[in-house]
Amino acid sequence: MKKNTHYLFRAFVVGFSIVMLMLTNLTVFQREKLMSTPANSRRLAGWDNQSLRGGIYARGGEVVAETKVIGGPRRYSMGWAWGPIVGYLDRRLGATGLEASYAAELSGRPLLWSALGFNLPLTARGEDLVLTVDAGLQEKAMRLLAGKKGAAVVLDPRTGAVLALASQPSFDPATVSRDWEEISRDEAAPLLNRATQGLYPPGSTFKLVTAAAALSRNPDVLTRRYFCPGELKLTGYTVHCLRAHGTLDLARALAVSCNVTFARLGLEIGNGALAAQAEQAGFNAGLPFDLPVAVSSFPRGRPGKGETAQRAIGQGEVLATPLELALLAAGIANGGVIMRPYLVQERRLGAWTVGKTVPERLEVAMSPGVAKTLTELMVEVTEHGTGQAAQLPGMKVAGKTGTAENPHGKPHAWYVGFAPAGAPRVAVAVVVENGGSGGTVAAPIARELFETALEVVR
Amino acid sequence: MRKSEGRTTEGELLFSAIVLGLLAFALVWAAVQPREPLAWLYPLAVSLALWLAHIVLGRLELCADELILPLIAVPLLLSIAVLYHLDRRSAFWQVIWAILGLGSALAVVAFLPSVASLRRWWPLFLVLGLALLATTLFFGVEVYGARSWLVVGPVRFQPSEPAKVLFSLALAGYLAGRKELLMVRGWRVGILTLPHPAYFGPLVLVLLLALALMVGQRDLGTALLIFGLFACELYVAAPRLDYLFLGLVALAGGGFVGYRFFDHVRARIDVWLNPWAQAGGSGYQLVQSILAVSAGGILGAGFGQGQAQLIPAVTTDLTFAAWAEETGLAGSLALVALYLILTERGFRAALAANDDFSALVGVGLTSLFALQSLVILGGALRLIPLTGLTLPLFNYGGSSLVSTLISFGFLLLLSAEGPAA
Repeated sequence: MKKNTHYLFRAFVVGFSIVMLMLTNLTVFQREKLMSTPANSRRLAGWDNQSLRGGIYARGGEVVAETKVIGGPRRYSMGWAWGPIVGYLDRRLGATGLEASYAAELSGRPLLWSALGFNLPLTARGEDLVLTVDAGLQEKAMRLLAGKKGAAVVLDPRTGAVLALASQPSFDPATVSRDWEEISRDEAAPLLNRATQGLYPPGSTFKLVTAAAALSRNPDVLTRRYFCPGELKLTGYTVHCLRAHGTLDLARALAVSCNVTFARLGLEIGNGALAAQAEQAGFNAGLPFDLPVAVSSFPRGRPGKGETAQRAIGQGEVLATPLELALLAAGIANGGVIMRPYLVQERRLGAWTVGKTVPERLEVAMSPGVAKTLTELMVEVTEHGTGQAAQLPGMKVAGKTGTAENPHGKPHAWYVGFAPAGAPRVAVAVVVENGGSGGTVAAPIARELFETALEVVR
Repeated sequence: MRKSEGRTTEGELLFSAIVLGLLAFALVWAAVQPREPLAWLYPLAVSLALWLAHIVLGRLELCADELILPLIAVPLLLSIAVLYHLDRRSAFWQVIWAILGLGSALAVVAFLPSVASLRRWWPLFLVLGLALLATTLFFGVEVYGARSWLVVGPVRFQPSEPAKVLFSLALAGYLAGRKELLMVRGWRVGILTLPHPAYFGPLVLVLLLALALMVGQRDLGTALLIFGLFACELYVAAPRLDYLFLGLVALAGGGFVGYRFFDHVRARIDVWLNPWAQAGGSGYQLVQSILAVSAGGILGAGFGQGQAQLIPAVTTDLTFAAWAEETGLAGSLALVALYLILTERGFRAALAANDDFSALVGVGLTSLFALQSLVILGGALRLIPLTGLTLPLFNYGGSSLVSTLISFGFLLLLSAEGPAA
């Protein structure tokens, strides 16, 4: 009996030890994550009473969010256009967007400082954030999508700086508390940031990945001739084209977005090669970003022929966020190198700059040669193919349209591309949910975005 | 060896505990507006009661464990400070219950000749315990979804608290005379050898009781606790691994049945599995508890500086989360360590007992204390589903506090009986 009493006590020691380990886990290791979760209204209320919350400013210095006095209300100028980026801050509702992910900096309490248990802010005022986003471009992007469901991402492929990140329908951070009932019940999900968290079948825009995979494994696919009879029958699935394209080369196949040719290419190189190329471009992995990002996915495994063919043309189980496809375009534009995307250019404390984002490589998606070839093919799309609506006067534009079938009605309209093709400064991805054809719905939006963005980055 | 004289260790430790408790109260008192000078009577009254208990124990000339009283004093006094910040009325009542509980515990030590003398009364304890639980089925009032309260005038009373203590005494009485029988192998079922049904009848009875509690009172925590109590006492009385295995199977089976057929059990388990999905609704309490603990960081927000009012039922169920927020990892680890030490003292008393019944009473009461602490701590930290139990000695709850103090009265008496004297 005594022996078992000893064992029982040991069991309790183990139990109490687990409790102690969990306490350490919550207060030290998970603290950073938990303190910025939207459900956490407790800390924000306390923090903001002790320091002047930092402001958020657009690329040109325009005020996006500001707090005038300690503990005072948060003011959002032109809030309607900035919901997807800044999110909201509310005592009751918590925080999202940059207000949440930069909660520590904005309240003047660096994470290391607060993890040590110091709950008073280190400085009497929080840091100001200067964003890479251009106010005019952001408003234009939001306006172009107004009344639709969709998203647009504009970035500088050379640095990864995000110039605009739009998602519609959206909400106004200034009135989110008042509108909460309506917003939370709205089936169009205005709180969902479609640019970073909307997962859509990429449709034909994914042919860029298929082409990249084929080109890097077998350069002669460029000079080969293909034949499209209008459909390709496979076990369990038939690939269709709108019409029989007849004999064509790879450039023409991309320009007219020939499903049969890309399905054949996909089958030739196989699901593994497609998955590997997709992963090199950022699929199947978390993306480091200033906002929460959904993981774009390309399933591995050994699917049947029908499934592989579908995936090669961006259907089936392939899902991507607009941000991911913008990065794909940016990677091609930047000689195959994807730069890490970022929203915050600089953190300032009063007149001092306390942090400056240095552009860094995220991934090498493809070789410079493949990127160059793809660029030439994408210019063909704009000049003679489905992307003509994105043409700009006096400038070559590289692009790819997509018209993604989905179970929710009309296809999603996609456009990804960059300009100028020779020395790219701007990359975009646009999606309009159930918008119809990418070439007629998404490409014109992209053209407008190119026009404004090219004036912002020189 | 008459180390009972003076009880200097107890006195010194208790003095430190009282100083600590008064300091904690001073910090809270200073942080909370408006300041009431009369509120100082709360910690002072409890301190006085504790000191009187120390003097009475000295006068009784027992060799009772000198660590138990100071170890009880710390959470008791700290709870007054924390409760005062959260809800002053609760603090007031907690003082009343603490004094009442200390008095009852002393009465046990002073008037009971020995723990062993209770042995022949075990059927009475069983009947009393069952009767107490039954009263809630008929006259119970629902609070926080559990129908386990009786209301008499201004006083709310949870009969399951004394019932748990009665059950642990009854079980000890039953097992003490039958442990050899329980070791006898009876039926063979596959690789398992079960005892004759006549011997594990009580197991079935207790399981049915636990299920009845789940169904009738929707009181998941008590059901779990009675089950655990039974497992602990049985394991010590009849050390056979297949009993333990059977117990685990029964627990899993009970959990499964509960999940399948009872909405409130399913709701609790769903919230446990993914509280964030319902952070604004049914998961709110758990999410707020985790956030409070996490918000404390390493050194905490400081006494009276936390925002624990955001946690529902913070005074009765989750005072620990408030404590963790205000004192951080340092404070919460210290408190958990203190509960572990108290558990150790309880087992020490049980090990020193002269007869099987007393030892089983010691094991039962200590296991009850430790299990209840673990179930609520684990619940608050999302290690297991959250149930509406109190953290003994620390949460607000009259019946719980008095029952816990009485069981420590038994443990004190037990520790004085050992061969050490």
